[in-house]
Amino acid sequence: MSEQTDRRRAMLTKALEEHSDVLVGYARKLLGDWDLARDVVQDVMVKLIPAEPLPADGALKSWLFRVCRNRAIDIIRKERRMNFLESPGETTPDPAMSPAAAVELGDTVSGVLAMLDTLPTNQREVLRLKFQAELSYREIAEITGHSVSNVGFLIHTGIRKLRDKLRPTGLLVQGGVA
Amino acid sequence: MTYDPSNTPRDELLELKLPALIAGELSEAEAAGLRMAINADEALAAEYEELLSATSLLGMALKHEPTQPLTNTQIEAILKAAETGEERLDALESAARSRTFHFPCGDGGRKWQWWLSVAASIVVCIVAAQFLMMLGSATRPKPIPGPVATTPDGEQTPEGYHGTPAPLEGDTIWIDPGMMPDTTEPHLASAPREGYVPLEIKLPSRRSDGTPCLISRNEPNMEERKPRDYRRPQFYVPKGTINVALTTTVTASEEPMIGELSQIVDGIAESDDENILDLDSGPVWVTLDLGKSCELFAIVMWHRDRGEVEIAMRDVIVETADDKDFTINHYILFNNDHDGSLNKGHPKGTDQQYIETHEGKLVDALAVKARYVRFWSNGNTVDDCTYWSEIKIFGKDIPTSTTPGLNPLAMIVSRALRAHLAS
Repeated sequence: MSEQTDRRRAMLTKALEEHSDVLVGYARKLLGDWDLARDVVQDVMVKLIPAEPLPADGALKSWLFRVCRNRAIDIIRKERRMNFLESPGETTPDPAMSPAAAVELGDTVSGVLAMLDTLPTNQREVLRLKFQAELSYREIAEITGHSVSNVGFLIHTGIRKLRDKLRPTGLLVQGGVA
Repeated sequence: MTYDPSNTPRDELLELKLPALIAGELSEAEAAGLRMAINADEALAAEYEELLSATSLLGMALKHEPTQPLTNTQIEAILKAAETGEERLDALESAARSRTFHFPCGDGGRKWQWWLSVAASIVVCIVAAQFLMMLGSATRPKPIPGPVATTPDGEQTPEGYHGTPAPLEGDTIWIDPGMMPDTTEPHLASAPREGYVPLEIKLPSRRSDGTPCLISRNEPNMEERKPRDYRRPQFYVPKGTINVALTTTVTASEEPMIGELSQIVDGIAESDDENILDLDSGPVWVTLDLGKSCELFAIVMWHRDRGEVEIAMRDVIVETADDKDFTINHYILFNNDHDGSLNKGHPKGTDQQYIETHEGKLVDALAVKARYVRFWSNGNTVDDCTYWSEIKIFGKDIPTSTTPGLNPLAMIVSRALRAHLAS
């Protein structure tokens, strides 16, 4: 077995374990359909097998998101629109959490995500890529097509808008989360 | 280099640096300097804590957002595809292709019968089509042959000017070379002639950044990929032609998300961050008011060269008119909205989508006379935004003496005359 094949397999395993869930969530945001989102992510993973050149080790995540985005956009084009969808209402609480804490967490998460959904599409997307997928500005720029400075501007504007929306809720405190 | 907050305006600190610090995008020196500034300034510290709190909440919410992981079947399928590497993948793709097209009979059936029926059907269709064409040509006046032109890309078929003239509302005319007066030679000139000179276009630098990403081969209405060393053939324009769009007034269907409209006509066609205008998703337009009616020979547009990432704008339409409502002497010079998806009242286009390069896209303006030029677009192959770097319109002031050129009345009269002579 060649070293290249071993590397591909290792990369695929890593992609499945570390990134597939977030990718499905991201694709679902673009497509509005869980089944379609999973199909897209499956396509992305399969495309990784013969990818030429193979993404560099540090570039795997941004490669996956870029291919995922392009694949999702291909599908969206059939409807000629791209719309970052509103967040689903249910949360995934920690199994060890008490029911009361789970309910409280669910309310908070729903509230924050609802506010996130009120931001413009491009701000929502870059905020997700930054704080959910934990990508750098440069990686987000490669995925979305914005310049690095534009990504910084969008994130900066998005965070400040979100802060303004969260202020009246009392969830914000100095020094961290209430 | 040590960060010195005293040298940086307070507004900039507040507006730009705090989110970047929270996002971990500052260098160590910058981050350390900014933390010192935060410690020394209570208001700044409060702002920082609040933004940090908001991002913490956002991160927590996104972490707990429900998701639906890949199914076991999907994971198994992926791992199976990887089992035997590329050969296995080829087999899978082959199997997938075969699923999209099913023979009416299996391996045990008589395939030759099916193929025979297909061949017979094709022959019948061809014979029927020829018969209908003969019938049509006998009962219809013969079409006016338009001059064959060579496009700047070296193609023998004009890019969008052929086809049935399809008037829009008002006085719109779809320019067709067949409608041009006999005395007017096609302006899509790839060969020198008297009074014409090569069009000098200052090209921006070619970008080579970005991770290579090609446009899908399945992309509809897409031109062939040109070789890397491709150079556009020389284009000839009358002597004295200048960029009449330089520093003209630009309006748009919406406020740009990033950049200023004036950047489109500042003469700089570079695709770097500072020179790109970003309009939001969906159908958008920009309109250039040339200030007075000019005779136009060539339009060159640069949307955005993204280096190794191939990108093509969608639904690009270039139209001209004498009034800002585009109702008087309205012409469509270029239209690659092949499926009518722009949905703004234009006919479907016959031009092809093109890959953005540092050379820009040259559109033959056919010596049309116009004051306003509008450029439509509808996202691109990478995202749904419209980017603009530069538009150059090469033309001249309209001379006082009347010279043959395109004007609606002349074209209509000429066309009627030709039809009469042909009959």
